[in-house]
Amino acid sequence: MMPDNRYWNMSLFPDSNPGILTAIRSRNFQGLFRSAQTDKDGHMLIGPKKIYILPTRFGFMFGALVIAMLLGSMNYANNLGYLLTFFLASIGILAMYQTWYNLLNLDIAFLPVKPVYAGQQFQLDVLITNHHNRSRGAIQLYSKSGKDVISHDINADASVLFTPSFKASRRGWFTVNDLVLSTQYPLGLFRAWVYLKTDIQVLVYAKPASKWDVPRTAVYALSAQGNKGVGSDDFVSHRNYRHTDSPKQIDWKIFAREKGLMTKQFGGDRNEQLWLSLDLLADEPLEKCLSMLTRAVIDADNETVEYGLKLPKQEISLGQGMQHRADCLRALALFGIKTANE
Amino acid sequence: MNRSYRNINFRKLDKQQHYVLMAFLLLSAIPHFFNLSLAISLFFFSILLFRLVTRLLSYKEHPRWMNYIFLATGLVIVVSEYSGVIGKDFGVSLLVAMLALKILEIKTYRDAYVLLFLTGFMLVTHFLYTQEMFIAFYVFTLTFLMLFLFLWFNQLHQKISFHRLFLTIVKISFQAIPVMVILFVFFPRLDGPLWGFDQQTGLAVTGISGNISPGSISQLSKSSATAFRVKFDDADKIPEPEQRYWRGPVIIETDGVNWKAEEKPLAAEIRYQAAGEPVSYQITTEASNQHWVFALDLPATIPEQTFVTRDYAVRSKEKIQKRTTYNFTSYPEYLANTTSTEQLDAALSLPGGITDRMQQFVDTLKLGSSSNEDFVQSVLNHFNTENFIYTLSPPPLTANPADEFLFETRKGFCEHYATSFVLLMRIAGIPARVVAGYQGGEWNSAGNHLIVRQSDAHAWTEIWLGDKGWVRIDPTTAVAPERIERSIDPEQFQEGAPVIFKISSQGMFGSFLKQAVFMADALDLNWHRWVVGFSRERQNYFLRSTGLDFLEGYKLGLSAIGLSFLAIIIMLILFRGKIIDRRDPAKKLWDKFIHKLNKRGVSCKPADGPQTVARNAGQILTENSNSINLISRMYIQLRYGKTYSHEQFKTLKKLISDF
Repeated sequence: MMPDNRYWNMSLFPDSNPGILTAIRSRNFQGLFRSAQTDKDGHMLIGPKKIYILPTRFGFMFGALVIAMLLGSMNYANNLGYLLTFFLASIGILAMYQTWYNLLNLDIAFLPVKPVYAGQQFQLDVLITNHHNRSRGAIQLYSKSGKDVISHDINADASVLFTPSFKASRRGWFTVNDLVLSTQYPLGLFRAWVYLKTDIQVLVYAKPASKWDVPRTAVYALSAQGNKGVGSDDFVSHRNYRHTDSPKQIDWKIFAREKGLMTKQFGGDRNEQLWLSLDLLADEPLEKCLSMLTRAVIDADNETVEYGLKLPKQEISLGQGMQHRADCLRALALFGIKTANE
Repeated sequence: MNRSYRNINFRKLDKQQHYVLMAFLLLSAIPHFFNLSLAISLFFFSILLFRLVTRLLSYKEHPRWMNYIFLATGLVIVVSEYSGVIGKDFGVSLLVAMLALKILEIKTYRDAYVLLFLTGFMLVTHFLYTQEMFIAFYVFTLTFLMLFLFLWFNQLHQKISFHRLFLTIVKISFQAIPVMVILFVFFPRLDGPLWGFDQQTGLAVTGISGNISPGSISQLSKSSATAFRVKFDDADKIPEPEQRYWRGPVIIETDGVNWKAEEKPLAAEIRYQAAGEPVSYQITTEASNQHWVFALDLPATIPEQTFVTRDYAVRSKEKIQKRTTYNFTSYPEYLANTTSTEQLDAALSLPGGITDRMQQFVDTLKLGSSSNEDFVQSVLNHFNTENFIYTLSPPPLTANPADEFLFETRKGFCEHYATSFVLLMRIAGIPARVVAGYQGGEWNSAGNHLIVRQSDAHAWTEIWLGDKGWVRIDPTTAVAPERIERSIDPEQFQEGAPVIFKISSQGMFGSFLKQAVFMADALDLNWHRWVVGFSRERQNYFLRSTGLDFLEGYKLGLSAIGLSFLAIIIMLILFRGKIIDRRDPAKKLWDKFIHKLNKRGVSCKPADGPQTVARNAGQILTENSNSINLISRMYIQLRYGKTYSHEQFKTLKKLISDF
């Protein structure tokens, strides 16, 4: 039942994949299999050649039943026995096709994932769309390393959001590359599956330490604009929506109450200046230092301190705001790690 | 809804699923209770009842050691009921008992599947006992139910409506039917069994046999059971009622009381001169547990599994233990003037017990006749003019039946007339023999076939007239000419009274009823011809008549596989789903929005981007310009932006549907 048939299924030579020798050298046999890949629009369409299908143990039992019935019918020259045997045999073949067809042409879109902290559970949003006029029963999505299987029906011409969850154990890039889409619909006699080759990389920030207990030298400076209500830190008030406003600033809760579109206004205020650096924590192990600094960045951001980050090969100057915070956390997350995309 | 994939098969069944499985098992086993011994049925019921009670009282499992006791009990019952014979009954009983035991240890989904498979196998064993239409209907219904349960157990966590599950199974079943039919028609049939099957020993011999004694045929004539049915290939070439002699064993040997056909007749070539047109037809005989097949007088071409004796009687190589269909050609008009002296001598041999008055009677008639034909005619006239009575219940005859019948009782059925006529011929030196078989038959206008019943059983004679060869003489016609025109009505007879013949005039209700009976009979015959009795012979006949007879042996097997795959492909093409909309979900929403704008008077060109559309629409629908802008910006972000959120998607959906 489990998809661990990958080791003996190698004879199906896939196109555009590394050779067997490479696979044996690198002990990575997954590359030998055909897998669905994302196109330039970020969509993944399950093509007919990407689907693997094998009988389940019930499928083998069903086959044994049909063969036993056929032998019995032949021996007793029993025509009704033949009729029933052939009926079940036809059902078996049709069920095989239906199982295969159940995955065909599904359209899979991976929605972007926000960075997470190490040690956190996070969800991947996978939007699976059925463009057919036939509903798909019991589509299952799971990660080979995970335990959970998500199973949903997808109606004709509809989309369903699958949310497999993962645990980010270490900082750096978390690569999602062992997703499998499978189905045993309708009779459970066959199991069809597709390996999904995603290029999803989730940025995992270092795990924030419980608290930042290093004394810090703060420098204060007044904001140039003062409390004028055009910063982005503290919520000030609502005003009517103008068409130049960012959708991020729309108060969707108000919209959901059907009270029209309102834009949230934010104000800025005075600033504190703070330089964070590995040098502050010289004696601690590196990972712990990064954890502490991550905590410091989070705290500084919450306290609306203007802060900067100094790392051995990188320096992020003083700043504030979501983007600045993200830059700092990213630098900490990827410190000492070869970046995959850059 | 998350669920551990690895453990899906080990999920526990709940009470409801248990009850469904038990009900399914019970329904599947019911027909076997009529075939198997009472002890097995009781065992099955008590196990099921035990399980039901333990399930109802508590959901706890009974102790495991109890299973071993049940198992031992079951085995003891099966072995004691069918000791020694490892045959069909033994196997089926074992299967039924084991299935009952299996229900005791059902816990998980995996067990449920195993039980369903075993029950599926039990379903096919019903056909070993009976192949009637209703049992086929019953078994196929349960098979359908089995598939439904597969689907149900496979999809249980999905909470799909029963309605949809049902439709899914109906659809796949309909797709399977053409494939099933093709495989059925083209799958090569074997000549013999693979490992041999137990001969049915308990079957009673029915119908005309090779032994005739006074009263044997009249006994048979009281039964309205069907002996065989005849379907003629050409509706214009159906022989007239007086030609419908269905030839059975030819009987020469006699001790004066009993007449016996040869025990083991040898196969011979068919040698006679045919006259007139041949008639081709199929005979579907009921199980008779003997060898005789009753072909129309005289058979010309015969099916493979039969042979013809030198007396033109057709015999099946195997005992006919089930309904079988044979293809024949016969010539109702013929000149059978080839024979051997050995045959003629045998047909002249007189048993003991020829009395003086028989000899005197023959001598007297012989003196007054110029030729053998003349003599035959005067004997028949004697039967006709003297007070002979044709009756189903003649008075009992003792030591010398022929003498007593001819000169004392004068009441008899066809066998009395035929046997005494043959003796009279032999006394006169004319070779003569008795032919047993059936005469006539009832025309089924609904099925366009002839029903020949046991009540049509008949005996007639053949005498050798030199150049004219063997000539059929039916002495019964001299006494009761109606016998040949009409059938006997076996439901109306009285002791010693003359035979009452069926009269075809009936009331409206009667004829309606008759029609219904005919239709049921026609359905039954076709069921047999095309389904149950579709043997190798019938398959060859079908292939010949459709011009596909070049398919033989392995070619037939290959064409079965090839054609069924073709049928599957056709089915799949017919039922395939269509991609109705390949657009991105966000694009679908946007197109819906454009459609709404168009309805409100904003003309949008297909090439217009979302921003252009928003600008144009904002100018026309000024009061909605805010939401138009918002929608277009959200759309741009969803479709082309880097950040996609499902929440945003839902919001856009709401915005557009509210617009």
